[in-house]
Amino acid sequence: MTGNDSDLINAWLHDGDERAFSALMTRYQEQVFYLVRSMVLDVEDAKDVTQKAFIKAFNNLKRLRKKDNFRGWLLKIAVNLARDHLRTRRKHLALEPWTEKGTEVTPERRMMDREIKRHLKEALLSLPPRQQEVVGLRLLKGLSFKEISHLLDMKEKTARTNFHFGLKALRALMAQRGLRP
Amino acid sequence: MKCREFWQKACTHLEDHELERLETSGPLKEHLRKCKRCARQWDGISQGFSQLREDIHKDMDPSFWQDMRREVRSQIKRPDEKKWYQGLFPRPFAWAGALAASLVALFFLFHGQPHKVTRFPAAQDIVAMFDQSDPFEVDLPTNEFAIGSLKTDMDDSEELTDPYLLTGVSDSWSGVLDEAGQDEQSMEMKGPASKDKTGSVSLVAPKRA
Repeated sequence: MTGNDSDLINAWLHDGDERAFSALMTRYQEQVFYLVRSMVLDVEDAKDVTQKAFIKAFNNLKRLRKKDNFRGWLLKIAVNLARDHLRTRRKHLALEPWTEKGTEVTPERRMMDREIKRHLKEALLSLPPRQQEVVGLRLLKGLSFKEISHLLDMKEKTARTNFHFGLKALRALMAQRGLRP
Repeated sequence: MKCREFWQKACTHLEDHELERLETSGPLKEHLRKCKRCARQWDGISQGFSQLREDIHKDMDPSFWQDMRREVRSQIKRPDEKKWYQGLFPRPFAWAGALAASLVALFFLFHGQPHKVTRFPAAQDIVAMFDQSDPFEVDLPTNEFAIGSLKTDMDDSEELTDPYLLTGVSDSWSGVLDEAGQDEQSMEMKGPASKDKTGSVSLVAPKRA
């Protein structure tokens, strides 16, 4: 089923058209999922957050005044849910000792790559929330600062500053984790 | 270029460019060639990000998306779905109005007519009424409705001057009234009472001089 977002939303809201629902889901599920994944990093977590975002969006679709703005509205819901998820997960992460994992550096290249990836993942998740969000959306999702500032409700300059400090902290964390020469 | 300067410029560069574009930036690339420490750290970060990005953007199996759609669909309601009680009451406001009207009707059915607000005589009027010892001189409050209803049953020629006709007389006053009436009659009758053959007594009007 084709048509713009507004037509699909009206078809779903007024006629309960299942094809309209599927079309909307298919159109945006990947965008939402990859955006969320660049923030939460884990596949299952990203899937869970994406589903929650769609459920929340469809259950509140009647409240959306400008139906053409569905994409932006949906992405904002997803980003907010991802932030909530990170906030919850950060509490659990804080319980795990940081230094124990940093000592497991192996000489093999493959193992090294895996280690680097793991270290980076953990380092990213250890950053302050705003820095982590901006760095993830910029370097993993490739969004512009304008898009990031819009999604995260902050000024573009603030997003750049967060990125700058985030990278600096990331470098320090990576060095701490065994990448020190 | 010092290491500190390198990282500052690298961060600024990354604000507007992709990680891979750093390779094309001359001065930064030059620093990386000279400084093994920075090169290693940079490799770690850039490789880490590249690998993470690959992971994150890895194409998912079609069944992954189908499962997601199914899961979402199972947790949302059709917008036109109604709850069971909404079918029973298609027009909730009309039903509420009818229910309210029924309750009002039931109330009056079991509690009679609504009371009219009547004006009772003021306390001082009642006290003044009973202060007067002579029942014939009692100044009772007039009641036009009562007068009207009595007039219909009575001869038009009769005058409703006696106040006890309007209000009724209680038992305690009736004996007094009888005695007073007999006294009045005996005072008016000057002539002797005569008995006819049947033994009944008739009053004879006094002869005029």
